[in-house]
Amino acid sequence: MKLLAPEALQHLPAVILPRLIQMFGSTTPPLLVEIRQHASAGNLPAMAQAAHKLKGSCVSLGAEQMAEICKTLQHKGECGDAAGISALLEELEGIYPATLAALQTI
Amino acid sequence: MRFFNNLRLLQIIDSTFLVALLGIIAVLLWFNLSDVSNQVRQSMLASNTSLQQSHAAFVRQIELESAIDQQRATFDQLNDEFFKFAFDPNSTPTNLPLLHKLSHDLQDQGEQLLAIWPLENRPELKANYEEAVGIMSNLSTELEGLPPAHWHQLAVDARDTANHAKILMADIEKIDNQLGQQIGDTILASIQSTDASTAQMAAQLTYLKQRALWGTLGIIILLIISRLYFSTRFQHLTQTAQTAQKVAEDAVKTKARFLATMSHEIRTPMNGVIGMTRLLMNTPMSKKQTDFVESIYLSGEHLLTVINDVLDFSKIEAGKLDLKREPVELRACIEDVLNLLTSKALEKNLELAYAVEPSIPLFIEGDMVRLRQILTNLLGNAIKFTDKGEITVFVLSRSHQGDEYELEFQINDTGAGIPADRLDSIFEQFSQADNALTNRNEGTGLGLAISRRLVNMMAGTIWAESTVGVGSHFHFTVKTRKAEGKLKPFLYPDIPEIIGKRILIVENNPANQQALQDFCFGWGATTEACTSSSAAIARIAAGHVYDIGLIDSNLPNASALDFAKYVRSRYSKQAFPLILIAPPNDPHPKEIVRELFNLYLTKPITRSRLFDSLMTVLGKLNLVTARPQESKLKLGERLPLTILLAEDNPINQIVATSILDEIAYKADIAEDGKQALEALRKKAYDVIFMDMQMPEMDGLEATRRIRADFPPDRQPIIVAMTANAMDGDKQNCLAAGMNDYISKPVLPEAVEAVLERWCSAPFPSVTIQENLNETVSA
Repeated sequence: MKLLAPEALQHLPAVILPRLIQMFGSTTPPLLVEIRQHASAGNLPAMAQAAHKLKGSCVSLGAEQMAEICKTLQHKGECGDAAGISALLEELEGIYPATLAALQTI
Repeated sequence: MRFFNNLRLLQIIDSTFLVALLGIIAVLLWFNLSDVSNQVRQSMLASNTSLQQSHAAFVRQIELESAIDQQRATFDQLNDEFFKFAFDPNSTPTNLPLLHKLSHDLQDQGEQLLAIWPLENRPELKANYEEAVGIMSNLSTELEGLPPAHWHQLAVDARDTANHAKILMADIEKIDNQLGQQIGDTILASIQSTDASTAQMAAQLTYLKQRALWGTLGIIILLIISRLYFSTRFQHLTQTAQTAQKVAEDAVKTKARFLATMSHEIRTPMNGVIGMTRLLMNTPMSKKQTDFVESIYLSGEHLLTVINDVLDFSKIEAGKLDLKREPVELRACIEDVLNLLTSKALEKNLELAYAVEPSIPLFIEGDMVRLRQILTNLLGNAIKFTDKGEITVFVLSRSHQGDEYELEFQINDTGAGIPADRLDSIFEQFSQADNALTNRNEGTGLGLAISRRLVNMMAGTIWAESTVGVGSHFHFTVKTRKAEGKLKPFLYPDIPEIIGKRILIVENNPANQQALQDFCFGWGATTEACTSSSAAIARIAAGHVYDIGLIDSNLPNASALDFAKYVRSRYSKQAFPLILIAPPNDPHPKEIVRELFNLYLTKPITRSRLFDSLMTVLGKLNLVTARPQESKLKLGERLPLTILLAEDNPINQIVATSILDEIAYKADIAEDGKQALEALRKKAYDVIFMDMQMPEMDGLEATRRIRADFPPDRQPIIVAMTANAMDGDKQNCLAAGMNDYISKPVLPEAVEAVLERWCSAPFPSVTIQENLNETVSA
């Protein structure tokens, strides 16, 4: 799966793209921190909510790979399944910079 | 099947058991009761006989007693007479006849008494008595022969005999009384025996009662045990069945989920390929590269159709395709399909036309997407396999009862035709009529199979008739019912501007002619139709006057322009406006057409275009706001709405508002469900776009509250937005009271489509409504 699905962005008016990408850069790190905090505190429902929020941003910007991980995290959080969450979080945090960079190069 | 058999067997055993038990109860009761009734009958018989005997004896006793009394009286009288006779000095033998008579009576009575003699066991008493009676009755005879001196002696004898007889009679009476006593005793005994037998019977009945009680109790216990056993068995079987059902349902769900995921996963990259190819086609390339890329593009498009077909087919096969029941505007549905296919038909210069029987209601209940799919399929095939001529669609009402309709769709072409031996198999999957024509048969061969299944789901049938070299007719039927939907201006009957207008139709294609007549008639115009320009010219020459002329460009002998020239020689463009009905690639020179005709009406003929054309030439178009098809206005400019966006994610807020901004809407934003409710309290919104998952209060809950708390005139259209693209979510949305559903990422087309679907006012123009009201009140 690609980091970025460009067709999602093609539907959006070009004028708002820079603002959206900047917003993605400013809102995502706090959300990642929030997800990690909730995960380490064992508050899985709260983690699911934060993951859902991040998923919404990612879907809209075509960040498919991040969206997919968020979806899995949200699902695990809703089911109360703590297994593998930290690995997923690491992956999510790992691909974020690349995703943001890919967005900024468009 | 095994489950069914077992259940059946259990039921049979259970019923047999019950019947047998009831039978045993009945037989036991029958035997016991018939025994008792026999005994009752016997004892009744015995007591009857003894009572009859007693009665006879009693009667005889009374008879005897009266005979004895009589006899005694006679003896006394005879005795007295003898005395009177013996001691009366004046007695002469002349007095004898009285004595004779008395003696004779005594004899008779004596014989009577003997006749009813009761005492068979006392012969000596009988003999004595007989003797006494004999002596007494002979005395009178003796008296005759005796001298008077002996009469005294005779009287004494008579008295003695009489006394003796009386003693005897007393004896008899005594014995008889004893007999009476005996009879009384017998009766008493019989009564006592009846008593005893009654008591015995009562005892037997009590015994029977107890036995019946215990028997019934036993049977009840047996029944309870058997019921418990069988119900456990039934429960077990039902549970097994339920488990099996659940497993099956889970399997189906898994398959559906898989399909839904696959459809997304496959379509997304395919769209990417096609989109990128399209972009690539706009970049500078060599001729060869352009050919390759075009090939990639066409193959991609084809692959996407194949994928869609396969997914549809598997969805139907898995039973996961549910037909909607929504109001469908039948004519618009057909017009949409015709519009879609016009370009392909134009490439081959094919005529496209449709006509719907006027009696068929504007809106029918059904699934528009699927109906369109069938029509697109059949019409697409028709165009694919027809090189010249026309494709026509007719919709007829086969039967209708109240609001229920059975409609027949006919799709006719003038193509190559299908050989008779292939007609049956073309509706099978992966089958195409002419495998040799592979270069033309792009497609999966699933189209007709899908159509057949869809038609079957709509409670109809599909079939084809064909003559090789002449053309094919595809028919399908659907069962549906009348529905109510939002009317667009041209859907109203009797438009005031059109009522009473005389419209001349010159059109040689029967389907188009029919359609034009139906539409104009529906709006209140009177129409006259001619199939050639010469016929039309003849009518005008004969003095007929018309308000508007609708002229087909493709008349025989290319005479459309000749006809127009003739009209213009007599009438100006204002006096008798003419409309030329022509395909977009009409061969007539544009300048001449503009000179002669007021307007072009582009084929295929649709009601909205025809309506606009008529209104334009009537100078009334300004009364009606422009049709969407022809409008360059943004949606928000011709359909102003107040919109609320309930979405917590800032990026999605921007995405959605910017998409709305593109089509000229300014949306207010609520961060969650609670804020949305508050905003709606402050201000009435036409539409709310509602995210499903939000903090504080999610979209479903907010929708439920809105639907419950707000009055009908404040109810907005609510459209869900969600990233979970599953059917179940859609069900949840609709169940909560939402009107529609769009999936993320939100696309401008989806937003536009949903707004048009739900918010297109039935009447964008106030003026027309007022006019209508005037007409109604007039």
